[in-house]
Amino acid sequence: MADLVRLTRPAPPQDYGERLRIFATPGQRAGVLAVCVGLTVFSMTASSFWISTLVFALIASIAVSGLNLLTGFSGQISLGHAFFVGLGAYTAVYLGGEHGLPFLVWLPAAGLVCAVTSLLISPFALRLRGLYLAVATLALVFLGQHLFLNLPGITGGAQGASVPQPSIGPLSFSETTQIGALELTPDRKWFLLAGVVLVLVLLAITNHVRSGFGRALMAVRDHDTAAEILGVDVARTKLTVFALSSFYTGIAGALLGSYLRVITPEFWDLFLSVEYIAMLIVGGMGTVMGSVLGAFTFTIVPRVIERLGPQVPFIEAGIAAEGLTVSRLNVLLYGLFIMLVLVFEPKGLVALWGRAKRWVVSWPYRF
Amino acid sequence: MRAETSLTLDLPEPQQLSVDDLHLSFKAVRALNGVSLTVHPDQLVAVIGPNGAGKTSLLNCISGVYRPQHGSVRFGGHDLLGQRPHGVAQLGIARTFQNLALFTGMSTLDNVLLGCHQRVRAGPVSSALFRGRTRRDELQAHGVAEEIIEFLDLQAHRKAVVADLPYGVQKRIELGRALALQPRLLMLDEPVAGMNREEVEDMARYVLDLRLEFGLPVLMIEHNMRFVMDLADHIVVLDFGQPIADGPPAQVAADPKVVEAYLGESHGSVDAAPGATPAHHSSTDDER
Ligand SMILES: Nc1ncnc2c1ncn2[C@@H]1O[C@H](COP(=O)(O)OP(=O)(O)OP(=O)(O)O)[C@@H](O)[C@H]1O
Ligand SMILES: [Mg+2]
Repeated sequence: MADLVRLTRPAPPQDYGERLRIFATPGQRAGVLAVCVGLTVFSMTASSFWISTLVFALIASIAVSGLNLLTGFSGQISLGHAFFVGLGAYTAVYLGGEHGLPFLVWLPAAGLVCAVTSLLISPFALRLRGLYLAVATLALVFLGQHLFLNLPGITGGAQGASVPQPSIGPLSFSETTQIGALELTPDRKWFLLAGVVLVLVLLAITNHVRSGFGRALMAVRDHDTAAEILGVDVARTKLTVFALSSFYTGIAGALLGSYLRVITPEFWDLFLSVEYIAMLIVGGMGTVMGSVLGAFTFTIVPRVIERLGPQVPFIEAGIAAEGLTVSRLNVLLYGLFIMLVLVFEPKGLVALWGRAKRWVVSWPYRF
Repeated sequence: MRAETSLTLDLPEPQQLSVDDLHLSFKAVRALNGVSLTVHPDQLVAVIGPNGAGKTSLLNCISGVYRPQHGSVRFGGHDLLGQRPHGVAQLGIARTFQNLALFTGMSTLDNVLLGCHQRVRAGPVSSALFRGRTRRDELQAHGVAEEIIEFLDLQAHRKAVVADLPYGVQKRIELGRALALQPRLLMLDEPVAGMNREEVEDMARYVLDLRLEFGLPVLMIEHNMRFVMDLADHIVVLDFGQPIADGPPAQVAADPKVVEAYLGESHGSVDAAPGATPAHHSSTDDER
């Protein structure tokens, strides 16, 4: 009897390699590819305002992806990531500006400096969990601001520092190159650069999370006692993911600093940390694509409002305006948006997207 | 009849577990008061006793979750006291929990794969590239997990999220996850608690298969007397943290002290009713 039942069951897949593919379906791969191509074509035709918006979105995606590894996949809340972004930027200033090292050295070095710094901090930070960790990492932001302000030798203090521009071999990112009919402005080069770095980071993170390392992260997040019992060294895993997360965030910081050209200490403040957390939550924690969705949404929407601002009634212009200005409206919408997502789709935009896809696929049936 | 088992795990050499004179107290509560027992490599040893007798605390001491104040725990040539739980796991001791400790948001497959953790390369740098050994280990882990899933008849639940599965299935998944460690010793904390008769029989067969085919030594806590009497080679009875009897099943069942400890709460001799569960079943103990 049992044998009969056994016969009717689908045989287990023998080629487990199939399970290890990055994209579950060819359609998924095609979709991602289409988005990449679409954005690239757009960036080669759009005005510099929109290209720079995209560059900021790409860089934020890298930072939020790094944060996601720590907060989304292994469940440790960090409010300190603004510090690591800043540290990455100042590493670029120090190594690329002061010591004149090439871009391909200072970019990964920014990540490494952040990783090492986080390892130095972690004996204190990783004893803490949940909100305590959040508060401890919050302290990191203030410590960072103090240091950035009071080490003018490296950071330029309150006057700010200028950050080196990338150049790879003969390719310089501060001037325009003409390739046939295509005018590669610095902004367009920046789009390609940030895009390539983001794709590499997303590939690495996808690989992290589909391997034993990623499973261990999620195990620590979901049930640390059970993880330990299976042989997962919880303390070591937390340490590693903290460093790794800081690594990616530091790289984003170096890019962000360089794209901004001049940076001052107050830029790396608590609001930046909160912004990254908001992007993460709204996009969808613990999913690779959620970080990107969140970062794009929160970068692009304010710029759209900024553009449309003058056409909207009640909006006043000028610094002395007392009513609703574009930036005030932005903050308002920001908060409203976070609340709406948390109330209606706590799993973030990614889940919304998944639902929309199921709805389209199963149309005209509804469930 | 189940089809013959297809499990071809190569389990490492079993080891002997020796617990000697263990004392553990939480402030006023004496959870363990001089407990000693030995699990020989070819044995299934059952620990029984009323609620709050200290059975789970004993497993927690062995697996490094609790730190006893006095006593010794040795496994093969290793001293287990002072080891962190992951260290104990790495020495080849796998366990399940009384109240389940599954990753409920993950699939059955991922839970079992996590059991393979020690055998996969899991560094951040190697995993970033997902090539060479990382990939090979991952494929191998899928092979092992798949065998276990088949052995425990979990194929239908492979992709299902654990939280959505019935309790009996979750118990089986937890056994599967423990087996994925390819252990030298398996510890089960109430493997059939809350199960219906059919599920209990299935579980008994899985445990028997494991014993017969792989000679896997087992240390098991269970309230279901029928289950214990059928499977155990040796029984240790705890009452208020104190060992009150110790011997082969027939001898323990006839022991007047044991009968008395059980009679205090339920009537009838120990091996009378199948599935008799004395003073069942608070879940006050917090395993975390
Ligand atoms: N972490 C803890 N903190 C305080 N007291 C504890 C703790 N763990 C166990 N105890 C106490 O130790 C005693 C033994 O508990 P234990 O969980 O080992 O019993 P048990 O034999 O497993 O019981 P059951 O059959 O109900 O599972 C109980 O009195 C319990 O309250
Ligand atoms: Mg117990």
